Amino acid sequence: MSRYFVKRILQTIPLMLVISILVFLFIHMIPGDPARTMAGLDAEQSEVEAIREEYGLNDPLIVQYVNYMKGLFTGDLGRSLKSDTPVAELIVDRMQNTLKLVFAGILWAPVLGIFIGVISAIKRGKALDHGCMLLAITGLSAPGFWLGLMGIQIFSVQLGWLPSGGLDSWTGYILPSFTMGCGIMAVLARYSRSSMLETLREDYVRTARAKGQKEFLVMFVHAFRNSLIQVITILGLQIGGLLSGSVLTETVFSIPGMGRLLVDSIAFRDYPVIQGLLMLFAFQYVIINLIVDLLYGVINPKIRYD
Amino acid sequence: MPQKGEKMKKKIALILTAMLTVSLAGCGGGNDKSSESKKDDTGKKAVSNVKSPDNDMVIAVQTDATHLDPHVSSNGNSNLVTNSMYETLLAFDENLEIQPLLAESWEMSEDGLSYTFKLREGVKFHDGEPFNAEAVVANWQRGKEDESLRLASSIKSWVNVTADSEYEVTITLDEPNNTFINKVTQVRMVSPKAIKEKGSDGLAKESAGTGPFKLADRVDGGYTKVVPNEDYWGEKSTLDSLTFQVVPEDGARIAMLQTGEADIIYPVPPIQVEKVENDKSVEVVNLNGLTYRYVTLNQNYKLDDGRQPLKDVKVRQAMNYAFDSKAYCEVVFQGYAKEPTSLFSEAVPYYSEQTPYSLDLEKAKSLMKEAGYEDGFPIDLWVDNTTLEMQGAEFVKQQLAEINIEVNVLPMESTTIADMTSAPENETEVEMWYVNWSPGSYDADGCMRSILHTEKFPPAGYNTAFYSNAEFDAALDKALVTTDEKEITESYAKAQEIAWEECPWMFLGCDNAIIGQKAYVTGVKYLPGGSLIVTNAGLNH
Repeated sequence: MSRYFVKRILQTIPLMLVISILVFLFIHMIPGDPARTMAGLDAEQSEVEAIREEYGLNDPLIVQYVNYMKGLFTGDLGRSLKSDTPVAELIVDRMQNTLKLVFAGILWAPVLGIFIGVISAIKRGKALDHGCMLLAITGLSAPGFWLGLMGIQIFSVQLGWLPSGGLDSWTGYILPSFTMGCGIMAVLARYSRSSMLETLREDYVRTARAKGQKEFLVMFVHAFRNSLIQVITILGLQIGGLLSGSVLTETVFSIPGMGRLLVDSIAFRDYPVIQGLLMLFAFQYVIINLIVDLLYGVINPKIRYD
Repeated sequence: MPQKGEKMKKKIALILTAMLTVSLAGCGGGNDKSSESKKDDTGKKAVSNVKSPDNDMVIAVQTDATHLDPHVSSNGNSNLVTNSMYETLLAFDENLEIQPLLAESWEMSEDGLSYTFKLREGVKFHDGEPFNAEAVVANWQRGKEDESLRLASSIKSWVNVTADSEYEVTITLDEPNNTFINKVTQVRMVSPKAIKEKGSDGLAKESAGTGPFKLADRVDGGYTKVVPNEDYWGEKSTLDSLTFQVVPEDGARIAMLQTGEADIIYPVPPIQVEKVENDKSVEVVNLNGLTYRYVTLNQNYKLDDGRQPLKDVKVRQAMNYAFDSKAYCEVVFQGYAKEPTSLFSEAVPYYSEQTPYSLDLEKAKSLMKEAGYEDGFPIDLWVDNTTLEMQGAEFVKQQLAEINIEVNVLPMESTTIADMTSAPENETEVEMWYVNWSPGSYDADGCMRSILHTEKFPPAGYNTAFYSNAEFDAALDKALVTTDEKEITESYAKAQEIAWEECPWMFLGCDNAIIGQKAYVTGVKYLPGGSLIVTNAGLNH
C-alpha cells in the first residue's frame, strides 16, 4: 500500500504542473487590469503604469510564469497584489477558518445522511422512506445562502439564541455548520439509499439470507459495508467541494475563509493569490481522492492496490 | 383509493403550509423582540433600547480596507479605517467646511503658488516620534519617490515642501490650484521613522499615525480592531475598542444591527431600510449622497448604416426627456435618491442648479423626429452585474423603449468593465455605460474633469462619452488655476451649464448614503457620502 501511496503522490507532480499552466493562462486571459483596480478608477494613468512596472505586470506572460514557478519551487507563492502580504501567509490564515467550517459541517452531516439513507432503503416504500426522502430533497433544494439567512433571522434576530456571524464561540459554529452540512446530508442520504438498495439486490445478500442469517447481520455486515464504497466516493467529492466552495457560507456568516478570498481575489485580479488558491484546491482534490481510494481497502480488504 | 389520494394531498398541503409558515416567520423584518434585552453566548451585547452592554464599538462594513498603509490605498473603505489612526493637516467637517487638524492655521501666498501651514505643537505619532515640519517633508518625499503610491497623485502638484521652522511648513505648487486644500485632506501623515524602517509591510501590522486610535489587531478580510491612543493630543476616546467588521452580505449586516452585534452598519441598501426603520433601538441616518449615477453616451457610436445618432445633441436630449428620474429614484432606490439637477451632487461645493430634464415624452419624440431618428435605433448598455445596477439598467431600457431606442442590457463583472472602458477611442466597444462617480475629496473638479474633459479620453481618464467641448474644458481649466472665489464659482457654473445642455450622459440620479446605528451610539459624525468621523465616538453604556 505504501508503494501505491508514493506512486500516487508522484503522479500529482506532472498533474500540478499542467494545472499551474492552465490556471496561469486562464487568469491572465480574463480581461481586467489589477494595476487599475489597485489604483482606483480616478487614478492618474502614470500611477497605473508605475504599479504595472513595480509588480512586473508589463513583462511577457512567459517571463511572469517562469518567475512564478521559480518562486513556487523555492516555496514562495509570491505576494498578494492587493495587500502586499505573502500569498502563503494569506492562504494559511484563511485556511484555518475554512477547515473549521468544513469540519463543523462534516462532523454530523455524513453520519446523519448515511443513517437516513440506510433507514430509507430498509423501509423502502413505507411512510418513513417518503418522509426521509422529502427531508433529503428539501435539503438539496434549499440553497445554502437562503438557509443561512433564514437561520440568522430565526435563531439570531427573532430568538436571540445564536450569533449571526463569526466563529468566536462554539455557538457561532452552529448555524454555519448547519448551512454547510445540509446539502451533504441530503446528497449522502440519497446516495446511500440507492447504493444500499442496489447492494441488497446482490447475490451475496440473497445467499446470506438463504443461509438463515439474521436480518440485522445481513443488513449491516453484508449490505451496508459494501454500499459504503459508492457513498465514500461521493463524500470525498463533497468535502473537496466544501474546501473550495464554502464561499456562500463564508459570505453569509462573515467568515474570512478561502472561498471568500478566492472571490475577492478574482474581482481584484490578484493573480498570485488566485494562482495559489487554485493550485491548492487542485492538490486538495488529488489528496482527498487518494484518501478515498485508500479507504476502499479499509472497507473491503479484497481491494488490492497494484 | 380516491379517498387515500385526498388524504395524501391534505397531508402534503399541511406540510407545505408548515414549511411556508416557518419561512415567513424567518422573513419577518423589524420586530419587537429585537428591542428586548438579550444576550448570546458570545458575550457580545444583546439589544437594549437605551444602553449598550459594553464599551466596544463595532462598525459593520461591506468591504475590507485594501491596505492599512494610508499612502498605499485611498478608496472609501480603506479611508474609513485608516482615518481612525491617521490624521491630515486639514479635514472636512460634517458640513463640508475645511477645519484645522494637524495644522492650526494656514495662509495662501498672493500668487496662489504657496501655502504656509502653522502646525500643531506637542503631537506625537503612535511610535513616539514627534510630528513637525520635517515629518510633513518626509511624507511628501515618500510620494515623490514612489509613483505607485496613491499618495503620489495627491501631492502631484507640490513641487517643493520646506520646513520653515519646527512647526511651520510651506508647500509650493507648480501653478495655482483651487483643489489643493481638498487634496491636503487626503494626505495622511505617517511617522517618518516608520516610513523609513517599516515601509508598507510594517504599516499593515502596526499603525504610525497621530490619530485617536492605534491598530490593535487585524484579520485580513475579517476585521480591523483599533484601541484608543493614550497619547492622543486631542480629547481621548472613551471607547475600550473600535472594530471595523467586514460583513459582505446585506442581510447579515442588517441582522447584526438588529441583534446588537454591530453598533453601526454601512451601507444599508435602500431595499432593506424598512427592516430597521421601525425598530426603536435603531436610528437610520439618511445622508446626502455623493454617488452620482449616469449613463455615458459614446458619441462615436455608429449604426450599421453609418449614422451616428449620439453625435446629435437632440438625440441625447431626447433620451434625457424620455427618462423619468423621479420614478427611477422611487423604484430603484425606494425614494432614497435625488433627481439630478446638475452634473454632480448638490452636497459638493460649487454645485450649480440646472433646470431638470423632467419626463416629457412628447418633447422627446419630437426631438427624435427632428434628428431623423423617429424609428429609434438599437444600442448596447454595459452595466456591473450587481442587483442594484442591473435594476437601474433595466429601468433605463424600459424608458428608452418609449422613444423606440432598443437597449440591449449587457451585465458584466466590474473589473472586466473597468478594463473595457479604459480602451482608447478607436478601440472601445462600449456604446453606453451605466455607471456612477463620486469625488474622493469633495471637489467640483474631481466631479467633472476625469469623466468629461477632452484630455481624459480613456485610458487617461474615464470620459467614455468621448465628449469634447473646448468651452467646457476652458471653464474647468480656468477654475482650477484661479484663486478668486467668485471666478471659480462662475467658471464651474458655466461648465455645468454647458454640459447639462449638451447631455453627454443620461442624467439618472444621486443616491443617498444610508447608515444604520444603534440609538446608544454617540459622537459619530457623518459626512455627505457616508464618511465617518469617529474621533469622539462613544457608546451610552
